[in-house]
Formats: sequence, C-alpha cells, structure tokens
Amino acid sequence: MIDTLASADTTVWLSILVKTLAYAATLVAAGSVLVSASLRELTEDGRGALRRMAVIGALAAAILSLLRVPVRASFLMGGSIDGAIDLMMLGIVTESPLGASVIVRLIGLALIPAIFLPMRGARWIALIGALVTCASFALRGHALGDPRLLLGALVTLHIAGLAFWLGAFAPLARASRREPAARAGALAHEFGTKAFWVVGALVIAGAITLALLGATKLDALATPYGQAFVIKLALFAGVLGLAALNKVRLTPELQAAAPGAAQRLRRSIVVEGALVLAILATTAALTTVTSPPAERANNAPSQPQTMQTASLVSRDFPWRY
Amino acid sequence: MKSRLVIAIAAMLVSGAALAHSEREGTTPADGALLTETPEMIHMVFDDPMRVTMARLVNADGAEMPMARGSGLEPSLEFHAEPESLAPGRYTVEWRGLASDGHPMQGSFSFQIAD
Ligand SMILES: [Cu+2]
Repeated sequence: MIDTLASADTTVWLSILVKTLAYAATLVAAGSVLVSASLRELTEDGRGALRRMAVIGALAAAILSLLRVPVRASFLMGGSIDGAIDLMMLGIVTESPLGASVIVRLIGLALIPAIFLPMRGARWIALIGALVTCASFALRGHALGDPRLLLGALVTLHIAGLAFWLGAFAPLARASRREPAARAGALAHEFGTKAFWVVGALVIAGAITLALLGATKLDALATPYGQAFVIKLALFAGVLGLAALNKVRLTPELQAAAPGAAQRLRRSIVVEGALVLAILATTAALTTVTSPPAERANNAPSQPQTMQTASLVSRDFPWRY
Repeated sequence: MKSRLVIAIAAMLVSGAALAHSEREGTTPADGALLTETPEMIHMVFDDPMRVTMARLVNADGAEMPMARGSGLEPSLEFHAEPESLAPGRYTVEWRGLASDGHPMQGSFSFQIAD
C-alpha cells in the first residue's frame, strides 16, 4: 500500500531541518524590516542591503514554510514520498493548525517586499507584514490554549524580539566590514542600547508564557523535553554573554577605532549567529522529537521514543492467552 | 537586567510546560500480548480525538500484512481495523496521526501469535 521510500527517521530529520531553516529565514525576513525601521544610524547603503535581505529572506521563508506541509503529510503517511503528494493528506495538514500558521505567515511575508515601494506608508505596510509574520508563530501548538489572546500576544512579542536581534546580525557585520569604525561603532552602540530593552521584553514574555502554560514541576528536568529546554537556555545564556561582551567591550573599542575591533565584533557576531541557529534547531527538535512531560507522566521514561509517541497503558486490555 | 534574567530562568526551570494532548489509552491486543490465534480486531483507544492517518500491521520481517481499516480519517476516540488470518509469529502495529491540537503523533505496539 505505502512504499516506504524514506524511513521514519529520515522524515523526522527532514522535518527538523526544514523547520529550523524556515524559522531562521522567517526571523531574518521579519527582523530585517524591524531593524530597518528602528535603527537610525544605518547608512543609506546599509539600509538598502537590509531591504534586499528582507525580501530574499521573505522569499526563502515562504518556500520553506510551504515545504513544511508536504513534509508533515509525508510523516503522517508513514514517511513515504507518496504521502507528500497525497492530495487528501495535504488537505488534512492544510486544515490543521500548521496550515493556518503557514497561510498567515505567507500573507505577512507577502507584505514585506513593500519595503521597496517608493510611496509614503510603504514602510508601514512592510512593518505590518513583519508583525503578521511574527504572529503566525502564535497560531500553532500550545499557544492555542487559554488565555488565547494573551498567549498569542506574548508569543508574537517574543518572536518579534528574537527577529529584531537576528535581523541586526547582518547589518552589523556589514557595517563593521565596509564602513569607517566610527560609523559602525555608532550603529553597534544604537543596536546595543535598543537590544537591551528588547532582550528584557523577550525574556519576560518568554517567562510569562511558560508560567501561563506550565505546571510547576521540577521533575520535568528528567524528561527529554526538560533537558532540551535546559540546552536551549544554556545556548541563550551564551548568546546573552556574547551580546554583553559586544556592548561593554567591543562596541566602545569600535567607536574608538581600536585596531582589530571591527574584526573582533564580526567574529563575535558569527558565533552569536551560530548559537542562535543552534537554539532554533533545538526548538525545532524540541517540538518534533519529544513531547511535553504531561504526555509522558505515566510512561516509562527510559524507553527510547521518537516523535510524540503516545503513552501506552495497554495493561487495561487483557487480551491475553 | 541580570536579576530579571535570573528570575526568568528560574521561572522557566520550575515550570515544566505540562501540556496535555491526546494519549493512547489502551490497545487490543495489549502491547506484548501472547495470543493463540489471529485477533478479530485491532483496536486503539485515545483520551482525546485523534485523526489516525496511517496504521499498518507488519510482521517480524517488516512485511506489511493486509488489514481492513474500520475507522475513517475523521478525528475519533477509537480506531479499529480487522487483520486477515495471521501465521504464528511476532507482529507490530505502527500508526501515525494528528492530535486534536494539530500535533503529529506516532506510536506502535506489538503482539505475538503462538504456534
Ligand atoms: Cu500538542
């Protein structure tokens, strides 16, 4: 009936890969718009590059987000290529929250190229597009629980903060490479000051979201979900450490045109970018490979599991010989 | 800033994000069951509506066995399928589905038919 052309593990890995890349492209697209709108120290040239980045990112994000539908359909059909092109299965996925999220995201992404329009107010269209794009993350998974509106707003805020941060990497690296140290330093300084508030909001929004969603359980740390979460936090702490280093040490050095400062800042940004990518990959794996602790409460935690394996309480059904 | 971060991390650590969605409550045959003959029915019960998108019965060599599906693709608390007569050996039911919150799920259980 189903030719299994790809094993389950292949679909799981493919799903994590596509999810990670879709996250990254989406955040860069929305983030470039947010950064372009909020950093005044950008040069005309830098702003132009950022706009191009926004549009290229939006295109990549649209393709990758759309790709998630056939990948999910394939998983649901047992990892077969047939599933990826099965119209009924594609329909089922499109009707599911993933489908709704992808559709809203595509609408948001489609507004982002307005950033190139010469008319007044075009910037606002792109900005609305960026926010709609961020809001698409709130349409899925457990953000659907109650209080829905508050959770949705918090998730959107959290994603917008992350996007702003991620969106600033490329223009900062570019400025440190191409522009005089004083100009690049001024941009890095402005970013550092604004990112300070953005990170604060990001952390608070994340914490409130978790507090609203979660029961308070310390033994959650024993589950793969909890462990992946700790990995994510450790990576995030690394990013924050680097960001603090940038702000406190590297930016003033750059402003003072210290020798090698631009290069050090660039290197730090590359490492920061890699850490953020690792966070996104962990998040993708976290929502694909393991299930939240409640689902495993009456499950033996030792047994290895892939995807969100439902718990098994088969002893209630003694069809035994 | 630093203290806010510490509070946030602490909040995240103690909150386990305990979020429920459908679980499989039980199966017939039970996982690990030892049977004398082919079961009349493969049956799964969920605690929350599940859209079972794929269910297959495979033997120990991984070959798929014919099974007549009694449940459609609509979200349901129960899933049935009727296997054809099976030779003695070990069999595994593998399934995938969409939980009511839209999350993809998968699971499997095995039983054995004695000689
Ligand atoms: Cu779920």
